[in-house]
Amino acid sequence: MDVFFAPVLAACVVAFFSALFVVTARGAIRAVVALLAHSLAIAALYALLAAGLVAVGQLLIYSGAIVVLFLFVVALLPPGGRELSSQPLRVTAGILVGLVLLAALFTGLGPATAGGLQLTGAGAEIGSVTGVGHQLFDAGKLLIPFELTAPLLLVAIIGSVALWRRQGAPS
Amino acid sequence: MLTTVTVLSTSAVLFALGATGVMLRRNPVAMLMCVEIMLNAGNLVLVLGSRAQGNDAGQATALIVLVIAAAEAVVGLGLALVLFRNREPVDVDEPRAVRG
Repeated sequence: MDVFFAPVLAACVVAFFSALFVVTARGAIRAVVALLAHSLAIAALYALLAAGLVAVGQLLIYSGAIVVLFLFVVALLPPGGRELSSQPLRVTAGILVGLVLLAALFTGLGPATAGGLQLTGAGAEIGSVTGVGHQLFDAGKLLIPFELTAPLLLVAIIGSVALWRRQGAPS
Repeated sequence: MLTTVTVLSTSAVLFALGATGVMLRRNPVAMLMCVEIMLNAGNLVLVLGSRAQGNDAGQATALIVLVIAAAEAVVGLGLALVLFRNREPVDVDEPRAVRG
């Protein structure tokens, strides 16, 4: 058995239960804190799967920036993000969609695991900054998608500022 | 093998859970959090595939997905704030149109 199995299982359990809490929690602040736990568990999983650079990115971008941004927005909301309770029809539809999606995903993933998606001994060579950097910056690999994320972020900034100013108070 | 199956089924369950949350919640901020869970589930499969294949491409793609998630969170939270400014308590079914 893999020596990493116990920590991987622990991180998976934490990720699942914190995600469940995000979905079911009534208070928005509690949901954000659960999202932080979820993000940390996912970062641990990345680190265990030999993806150190992605784990650091997850910690900095998700736990550090996005979750804190969510926290600020929830704190800015007038009633602390009070939410109407879901109607029974909505709950039924949501659970139905979740179950159907789960069945579809497991049907699709079955052949992938049966085909022997093994964790080979190649783990030591991947995940280095050099290797990931070559994937991101070598022409013909992921260079163009990576460069396109820069205008994407710029458009996101301009969009959110424009949205806020257009809707904003006359001041 | 067991590790692979565990991580793969966790990510499938997380994706379905996030989709359920998007359907279930009426608060736009909570819906965005559920979308973040779905993005994390997808990223987990990318990283797992990268590890199984011994190839860095999956990890590089996961980094790009992180950037896209950040852009999505910024625009989504901006929309949520605009919704919350006028109506309270907020309900995503209520507004018929958002100017902007």
